[in-house]
Amino acid sequence: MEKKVRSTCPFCGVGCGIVLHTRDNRITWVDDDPANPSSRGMLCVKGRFGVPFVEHPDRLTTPLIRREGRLQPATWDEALNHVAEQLLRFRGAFGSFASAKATNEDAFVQQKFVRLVMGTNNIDHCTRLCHSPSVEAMLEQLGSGATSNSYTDYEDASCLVLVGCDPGSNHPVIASRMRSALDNRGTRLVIVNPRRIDLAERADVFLQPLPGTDVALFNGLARCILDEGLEDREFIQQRTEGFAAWRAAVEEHTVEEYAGAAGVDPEALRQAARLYARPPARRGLPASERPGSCLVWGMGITQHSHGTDNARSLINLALLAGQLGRPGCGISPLRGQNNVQGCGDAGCIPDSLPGYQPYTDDAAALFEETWGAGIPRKPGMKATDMVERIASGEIRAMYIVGENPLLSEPNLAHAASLFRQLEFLVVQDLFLHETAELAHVVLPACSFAEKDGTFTNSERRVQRIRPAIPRIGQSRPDWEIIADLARRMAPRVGIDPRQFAYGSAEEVFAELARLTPQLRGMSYERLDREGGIQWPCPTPDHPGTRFLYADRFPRGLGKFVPVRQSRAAAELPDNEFPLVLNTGRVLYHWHGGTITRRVAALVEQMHEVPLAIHPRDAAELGIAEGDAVVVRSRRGRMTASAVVTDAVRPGSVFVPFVKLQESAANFLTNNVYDEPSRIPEYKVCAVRVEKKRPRPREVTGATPTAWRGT
Amino acid sequence: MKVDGHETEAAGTLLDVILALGIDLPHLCKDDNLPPIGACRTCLVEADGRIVAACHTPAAAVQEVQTRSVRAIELRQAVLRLTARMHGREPDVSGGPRSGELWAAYAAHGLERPSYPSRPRSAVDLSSPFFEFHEEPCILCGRCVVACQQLQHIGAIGIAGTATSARVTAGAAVAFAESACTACGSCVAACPTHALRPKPLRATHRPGDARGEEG
Amino acid sequence: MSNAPAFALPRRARLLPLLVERHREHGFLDRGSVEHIARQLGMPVAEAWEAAASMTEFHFEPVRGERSCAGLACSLRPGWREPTLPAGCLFRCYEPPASGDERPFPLEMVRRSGPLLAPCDQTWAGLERARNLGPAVALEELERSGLRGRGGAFFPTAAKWRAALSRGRPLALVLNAEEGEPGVFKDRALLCLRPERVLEGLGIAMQVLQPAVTIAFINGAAEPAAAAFERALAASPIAGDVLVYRGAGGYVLGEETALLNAIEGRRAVPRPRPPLPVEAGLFGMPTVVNNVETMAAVSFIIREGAAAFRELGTAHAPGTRILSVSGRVSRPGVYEVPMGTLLSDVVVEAGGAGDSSTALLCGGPSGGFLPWDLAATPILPGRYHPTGAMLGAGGVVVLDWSSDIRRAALTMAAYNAEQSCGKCTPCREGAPLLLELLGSGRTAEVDELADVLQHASLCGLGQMAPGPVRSALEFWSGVFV
Ligand code: SF4
Ligand code: SF4
Ligand code: SF4
Ligand code: FES
Repeated sequence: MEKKVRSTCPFCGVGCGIVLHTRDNRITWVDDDPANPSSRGMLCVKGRFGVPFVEHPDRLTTPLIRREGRLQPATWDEALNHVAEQLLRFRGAFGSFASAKATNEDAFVQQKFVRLVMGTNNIDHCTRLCHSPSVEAMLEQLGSGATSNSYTDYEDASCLVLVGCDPGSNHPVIASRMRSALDNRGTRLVIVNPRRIDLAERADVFLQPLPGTDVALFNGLARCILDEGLEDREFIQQRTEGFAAWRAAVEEHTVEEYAGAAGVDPEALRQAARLYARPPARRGLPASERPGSCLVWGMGITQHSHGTDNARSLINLALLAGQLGRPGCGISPLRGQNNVQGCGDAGCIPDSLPGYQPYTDDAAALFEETWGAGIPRKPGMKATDMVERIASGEIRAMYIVGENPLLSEPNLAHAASLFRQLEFLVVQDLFLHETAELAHVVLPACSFAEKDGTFTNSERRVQRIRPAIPRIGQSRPDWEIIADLARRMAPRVGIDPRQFAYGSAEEVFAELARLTPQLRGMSYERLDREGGIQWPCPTPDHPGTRFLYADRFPRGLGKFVPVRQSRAAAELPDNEFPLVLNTGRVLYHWHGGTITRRVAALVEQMHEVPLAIHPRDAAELGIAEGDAVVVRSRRGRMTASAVVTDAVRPGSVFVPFVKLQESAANFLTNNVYDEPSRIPEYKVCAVRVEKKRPRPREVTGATPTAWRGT
Repeated sequence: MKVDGHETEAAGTLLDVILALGIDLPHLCKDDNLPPIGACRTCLVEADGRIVAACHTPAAAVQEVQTRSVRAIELRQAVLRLTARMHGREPDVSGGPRSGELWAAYAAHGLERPSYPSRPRSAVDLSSPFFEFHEEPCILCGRCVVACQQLQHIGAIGIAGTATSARVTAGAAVAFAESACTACGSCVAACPTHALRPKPLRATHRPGDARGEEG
Repeated sequence: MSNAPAFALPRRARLLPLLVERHREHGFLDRGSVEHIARQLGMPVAEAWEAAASMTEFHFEPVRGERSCAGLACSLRPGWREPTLPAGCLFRCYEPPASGDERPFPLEMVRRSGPLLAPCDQTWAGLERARNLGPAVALEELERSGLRGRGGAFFPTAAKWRAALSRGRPLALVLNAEEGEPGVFKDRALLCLRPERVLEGLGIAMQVLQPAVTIAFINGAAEPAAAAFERALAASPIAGDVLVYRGAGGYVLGEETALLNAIEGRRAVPRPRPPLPVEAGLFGMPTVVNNVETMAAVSFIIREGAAAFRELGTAHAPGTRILSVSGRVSRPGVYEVPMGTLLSDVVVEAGGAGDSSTALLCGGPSGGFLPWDLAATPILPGRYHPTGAMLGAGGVVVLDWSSDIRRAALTMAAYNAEQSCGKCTPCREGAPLLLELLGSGRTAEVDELADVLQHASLCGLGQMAPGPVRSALEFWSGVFV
């Protein structure tokens, strides 16, 4: 039997439309969906060829309970009753990670469970590890934490400024849409990246700053704009506050000083500033419209010990140039995982309720009334803090859904020792990954291809997923598992179990929409009929919103926040560890690789972790292309295969954080954090690289036994 | 305007109008969401007495279209027979989404066997882990190239060479795996003949990646 | 590319000049150099490669030996041998058999001169007059002259300019000096001998159209013509405002959209129409493409007035036409004659036999053959005979049908098959089949195939490819069985 099911790609935050073709309940082909307004008939390699992971033989098929030190199969009743009993013991010392890969419905039920049944706001998700600084800064300065524009605006912009991101690898379909703007509309391109990414070949200006000097660079851009009078005075006057104080801070240094600090050419900096503030009109822009610029950034901005400052300085720039609130401009922190946006929207963050509503009386009252019980008002712990506070005993039990922190946390060896100290750990996922190996109970969840739900992509578009194949083994959708668990625990903590008596994902979504003003106008019926809708969509007849901030910011006026360059990074190179390690992603693997390692073709394409190193450093170290190398930091070591390229600056090396063949960059990275977002500094740490010495036995041909004695 | 006697609105190209009416017309080089190429010439119709390619003729200037006139059918048959000349064996691979378009066109035009001598070609590129290229069934419609260059704006492939040496070519005549190909698969999705075909989707894994060997 | 003006075309527009330069230095293009150039221009390698590979005159490996002509006039000469290099026509049909590189067009080969081929002073008086008239009035003057494009399609020139202007700016202007049809050498004559006249016409077009970019696209092998043109350009008032492009081949460049693709650094194949170049041509700009001879006529018209132009030729086809006459004649060369002159008169003037043994190839590979008893026809735009013979670009090859017609028809069929750009199925697959059918005497099957080529092909090359075969079979079918 052949079927075609329209759904949404489960990999990155672009949120491409896919059509799953199945024959006899097996996926045979993944087609693109030309009708999808986000992807317009495009996909990347992961969406097109990466989906077979859902049918991988490694999929968990039954619940597992740790008995006599080993994880052993159990029934759902056994497992959930066991979890219920145990978790009741740890109320008050409990934390939970939600999954940015799961659906809005999954996230919503999970946060409801944590807040209502576990009585805590200790819930968070991986945005902590990617864009929390962006969200912090946007909330502080604008009052909302989302990409302000749509992908369409990249095509309508006259200039694109890409900072610390590599859309060609991480958001391939966005990169395609950007290239179409360059090809068809003559859009200008500015790239800021310590690494020469593919798109840099096409850039009008390419700035390659020293690692960790972003604030200096952006203040330098601002200074150029001010010096040349390119700022948008009207916008500043009518829509912002704090300009004078900020201006004074920026003017503490000259363009030359800023450029010097960042290690870039001041003239190039000026050119970039002009292009951003006043780009020449792209082809076909009506003469009546002001040419716009989109400011796009990625984790090269956020994963620093001063990530929030970096984000603030970018938002300051957007306010200064008035490149917000019109078509063809805006600010976009590019989201990594398919549903990071939705997971936060649905309330899986410690400091606010669904829809970023504060724990103040009005908002919380609506929730309490709907849910029929009180909810905690004290903000919870952030993900990185939960892990760090295992040591102090403040966190003793955790419930982790669809995440593998033992691959994504910085300084993995340290993190693993903390997780081992947990008294009770539940992991709910598709595969038995590094973190699940340590769990007391493992619950098998369904993949996206087996369930109903919605994902929200980087442009705030809420899109449906639909079941294409039957559930694998006894796996169940995340929301269903958690609701079942909640029903078992609710009576014991004085909650009405009917609060968790959902009959379908659609019912969950209806409650989420009712409680969240920005989603209130949406329903499955509408999403099925119209396709994805962009929030805010407050009423059933509202068409959704292409760009935010047209006439006001959620906090009223946009706020300039002075920022100054501080120490470039917590750990800088020295004699012992002379190189700077930068981490990121690659096209062919997604995130830590837990999923893509299970797709044969993706592994065939890239089976070793590559390390990019500048020819000069390589020559000094005697390293040639393809050599096996060992990378060490103060925290650990990994092996990689050398790629000698001048795409990186001398003195820097680049490693994607996928784990292949037991090697992963996060054995090296530093667990120091940005305040206030608490993001770890993945992007900069000091390392030493050496050519891996061939094993003596391979050289001498001596038999292994000859070596055993020594 | 009128199409095969049906009154209808003249919007877009003739092909748009024809397909919107549910009339079957081959259009081997025209993808729904890509600009017309005009290479295959299988979409010929008679418009106000002239023979035109429906995929790149605007409907606005035309009063009457006949898709089934003797002349149009004869010409399409002849074009299809020339197409068949180069269309070698094509496997029945599960998975290609737009496959079968050419077979359907043959059937609709009563062509069983090509009557022109065939022009066999045999290049094969198996280098990508994700898909394969077999020149044998390729009809040089150019859809793959447009998908790569004008949809994805990657430009990993082109059609190199003139006359009968024209061939779908990655990079500067290198293997797909050595080109700028990102394996997005848009070319595979666009190919109407399985010349570009996915490798069977595999969820198996290689040693070193199974969880049993971790830790 | 010389004299780069201020207008910045997208970087990929430099692909062809860079490829040509590299080819000139090394004699061929290898993968590495194409990759290098692509990277330099920030364009995809495959797109650069397909563009390079669509140019039939580029070599991709080292070549040895001298080029010798494979064209019709040369192949009729005793002692002619099949060339080892595929060289096509060397455009010296007036001195067969030709080999080696092109040479400057000899003045004595101007057998009959007229307003276009007559010596041209360098006062730039026409340009001056256009400036004084202003664009609108100059355009009206042009309109009154009734000038139609001399490339071969005879589209009214003023109407073309108006169509582009109505689309708004920026627009582009291209002088088509690609002249690649075997047996036609009149543009070379004009460029070598009267470049100022062509430049003045171009300058007037620039006055009227105010293009954002003006490109002169000169055949890659026409070295002397390009040199003469560039010399004259440097001394002209429009020096610095014209980009000179050199091609690298392909009959298909006669198709305007293929020419535009070549300039854009794309595979040189025709685009589907619409849009027409005047609507959206070079990089999407409304684009006027005019032939060398047309520009020369523009100069004459603005200098001497529309009325003077209309004094020559007929009411519907005013002006003169330059014919390139070669083959079995004693006085080969260019003949500038008023439109409406009898074709047979020109052949006789050139010293052709002019009896029942004579056959004419009119319009080259896109035209067809004509027996002598039909040759007393006035020289006018359009077909002399429905099977194929036509004025086209003005090529006339005089043959003796009994000894030549078979080879001539096969040469033309082979040329069309070879020169197919490979884009559309009827032409790519059909043209070689046509050659095969003709060669093996299966002439009964020709009709159906010729019909599909003519009506189904994307561009003129394929549509007109059956002409020589059809006309040869119409008049001399006995020779082919
Ligand atoms: S770009 Fe992102 S959403 Fe689109 S197919 Fe690739 S991974 Fe999936
Ligand atoms: S798979 Fe490769 S060749 Fe095909 S469209 Fe994508 S990038 Fe181009
Ligand atoms: S490979 Fe397929 S899509 Fe590409 S030209 Fe050949 S038949 Fe067309
Ligand atoms: S579909 Fe019209 S020419 Fe191919």
